[in-house]
Amino acid sequence: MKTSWRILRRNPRALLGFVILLGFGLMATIGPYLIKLDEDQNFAERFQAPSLSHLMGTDYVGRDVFAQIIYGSRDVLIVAVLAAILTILIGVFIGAISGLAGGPLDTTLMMLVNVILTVPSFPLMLIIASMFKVTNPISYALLLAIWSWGGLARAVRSQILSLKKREFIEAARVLGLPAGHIIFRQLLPNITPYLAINFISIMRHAITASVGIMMLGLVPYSSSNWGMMLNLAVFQSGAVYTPSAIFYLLAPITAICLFQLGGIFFAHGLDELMNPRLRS
Amino acid sequence: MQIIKRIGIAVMTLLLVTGLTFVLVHNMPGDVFEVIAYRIAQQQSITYEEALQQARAIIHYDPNVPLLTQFTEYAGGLLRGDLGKSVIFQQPVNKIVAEAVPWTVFVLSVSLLISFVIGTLAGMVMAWKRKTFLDPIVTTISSVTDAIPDYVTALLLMVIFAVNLRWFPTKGAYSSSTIPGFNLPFIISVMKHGALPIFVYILQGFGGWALLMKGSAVSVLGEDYIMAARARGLKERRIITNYLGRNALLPSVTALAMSLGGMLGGSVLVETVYAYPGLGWFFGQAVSMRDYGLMQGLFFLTATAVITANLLADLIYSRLDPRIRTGE
Amino acid sequence: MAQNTANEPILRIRDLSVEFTLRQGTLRAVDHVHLDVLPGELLAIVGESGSGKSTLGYGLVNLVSSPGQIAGGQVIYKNQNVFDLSPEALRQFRWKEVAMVFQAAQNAMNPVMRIEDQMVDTVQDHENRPRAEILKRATELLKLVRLQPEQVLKAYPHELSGGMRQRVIMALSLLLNPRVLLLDEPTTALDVVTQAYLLDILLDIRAKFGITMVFMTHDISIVAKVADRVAVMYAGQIVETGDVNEIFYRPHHPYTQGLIQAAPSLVGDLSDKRPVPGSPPDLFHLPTGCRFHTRCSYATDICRSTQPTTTALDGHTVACHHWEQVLGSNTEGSR
Repeated sequence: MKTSWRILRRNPRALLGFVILLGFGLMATIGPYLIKLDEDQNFAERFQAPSLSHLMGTDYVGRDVFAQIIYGSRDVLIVAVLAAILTILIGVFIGAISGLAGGPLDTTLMMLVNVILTVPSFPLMLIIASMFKVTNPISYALLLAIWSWGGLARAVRSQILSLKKREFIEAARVLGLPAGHIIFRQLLPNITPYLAINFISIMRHAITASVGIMMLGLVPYSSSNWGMMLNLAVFQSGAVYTPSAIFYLLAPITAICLFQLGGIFFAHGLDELMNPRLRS
Repeated sequence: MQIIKRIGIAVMTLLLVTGLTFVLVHNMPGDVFEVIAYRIAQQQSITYEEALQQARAIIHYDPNVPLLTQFTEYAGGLLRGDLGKSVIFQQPVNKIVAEAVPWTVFVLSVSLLISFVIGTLAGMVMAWKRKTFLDPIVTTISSVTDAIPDYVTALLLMVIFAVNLRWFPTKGAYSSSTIPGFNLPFIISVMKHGALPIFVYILQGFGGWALLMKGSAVSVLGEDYIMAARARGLKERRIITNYLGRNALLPSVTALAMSLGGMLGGSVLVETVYAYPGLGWFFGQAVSMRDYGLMQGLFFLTATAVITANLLADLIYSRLDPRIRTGE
Repeated sequence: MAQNTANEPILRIRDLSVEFTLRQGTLRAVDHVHLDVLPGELLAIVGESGSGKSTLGYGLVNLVSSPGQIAGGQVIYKNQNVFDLSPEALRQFRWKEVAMVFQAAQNAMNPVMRIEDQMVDTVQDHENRPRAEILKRATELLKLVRLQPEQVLKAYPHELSGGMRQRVIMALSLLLNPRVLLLDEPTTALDVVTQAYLLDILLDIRAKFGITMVFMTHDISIVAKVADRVAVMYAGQIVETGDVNEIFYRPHHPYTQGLIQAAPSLVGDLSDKRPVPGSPPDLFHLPTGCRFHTRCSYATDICRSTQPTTTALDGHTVACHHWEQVLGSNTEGSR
């Protein structure tokens, strides 16, 4: 724990990333309790610039943008976290089975992984989203996770394969101990750092994809979601063409980019933490 | 032998993908299906039952025939090159594809070429010269474009350059006041309309190529044979091209094929933002309008393209790296 | 035995020092080395790992790369200091005059090019000769190192075994007819049988071309087999040089004496063997005075305070305060 703190302090970018992520986390959890969503539509107040009463300006019907961002963060982050958890669960599960079982099962699963990695995931997710109505974060997370676990499964499998080859497995077999059990116990400490770093990376991709899908108007279950904001701004309210609407457009963009940046910086720091060789 | 195996895998993958989409579309929730039928009925002013039949035909759904037969029919059609029919455009998908493909190919190939060449060269220079002015620039660009999703870049560029500065047009592939053909006004118009999407892809891709090449080159530079090449008194230029270059480029070749998949996926949003009538835009339209015929056809096309690209990359790679050829 | 055709050294190493600048400090891997290489001889530079012998080799062709650098001294070849050569002249000098074969040459060739192309490259970057001529010579050389040219030339490096690759490198090193061949641990990482085979080939080459060879090795037994003269290196310094028989039967330096007494042989009693006590010094924290004194049974106060200067005797040099004592202690009949 102390080492982690020290490394974070020495690497200002990782610290910044951590702060940003923490900020968003707070925003998502307690934000909605502190700020109320502005419901009244007042056409005269549309597309206002940031001011004291509206920290991020107003949208196309005069509602406060800042509040929308805060409420939106909750949806976005929940979906991202769920998607990351699901992806990791599926990926580790399939990778482990494939690696441990070997033989035809392994070959079949790896062919499946190959398909998953080759076929472009975004179009497929769009197709699924257009067919099956997504009404809550969990099903949305499932949609995002369903085509994203390929790389993870491969990595877990190769870890298991390399563990299998090590001499102590032979020794265990000679002694009559169950090799699978041992491999699993060796596996977890080895892949935990990898999973931790990948968690953030998967979250980032999930956010990009989820916002993108929403931007096309395919998952309309919550209108204060950042993606939905973009959809409204770009396609429905002509904010792109209205100079004063620039703040309305920039608000979700800034939120997304800031979060991604925080994720990238923090992931670098995590990388250093887990991999001492990278420490300068 | 290896080649046959790889082609076989590619074909299987394609089959799996086709089967997947087929099954998906067939298992659509009933109420969604009804909506489609209703819309067709409205569009064509026919009865609901007739519309239902049409809708079923579009996704090759015939409740009287076993699923496998339906699939075989569909697959057979695909083999013959029939990609299906689009509901909202009332045209065979093939026709739409013929119109849309040139634009997407134009934009993707130009941007891939530029970003790959410039990025890879930059990466080489960064690795060879150790500390240059390029390092901070490339790293910054790379981090920034990693954080910003492609559609955001597209939006930002659009707002800045098209709407506010008016240097570029905001929609379409060419100006309707020009006549398509090999004339200068048309070509210029095409360039202007394609410039921003191309720029988006270049920005998104450049950093990746540069860092990939840099990492690969740095690792090759640490190999014994580079030092040995210097000890042999080889000319510097030869070392850079034949010894460093040929070895360091290998990972980029594989990445090239994979990047096609990513770019095609990203093209949906980028083209939608710019209302650029390429494959991505049509796919976006199909998805928002629930046009399953068009969706399926375009998706199949995209998947085929990506699988083929991966196959080609595999084959080319094994020609470039003799260790893969004989090994395994 | 030595084939000294002339007394003029072909390589004169004067006061050569190589430093490495690392985070912990600056390390001197080669410290004021003064050495002559006579034409046509096989000089063996012997030392433990970390003694600096490999670095010395790199230094001779100015191939020391960061974080290392030449800290002083000269390497004089044909009346020219190698370090003064222009980059182009240095490039030409390498391989054409002095060729260096690295330790574990397994990975010394470009994995994506055929052997024949790499051979042609090497020659054409020095002299303008037609490909056919180069391949003809390459074929001869490959036969000399007992490889099959038809099989090897068209192959890629990974298709050959380690031993084969080593021999290819040797053939490669002879392509331009260099005057001097530097070999850094040419037989490490090979099994004993292949080792003997390789040494045989080297002696063949020497007999045929009269090339001057410099071996860098830690293996005393090889030295006994092939060397004409020996230079012993310890902690970056040359502590003794001399004719191979003198070195083996009448060592003047305690370290040399220790090395010879420690070397096992297939014949004889292992109980006679005594390893050199202690371990090589930490090059960041060298002992004061003579660097060997911490492991030396002859050490006295002067050894602990003052670095010994090099004493030159007839064809023999030694850097030790008590060399006469060491010399006298050599028993009669010691192998």
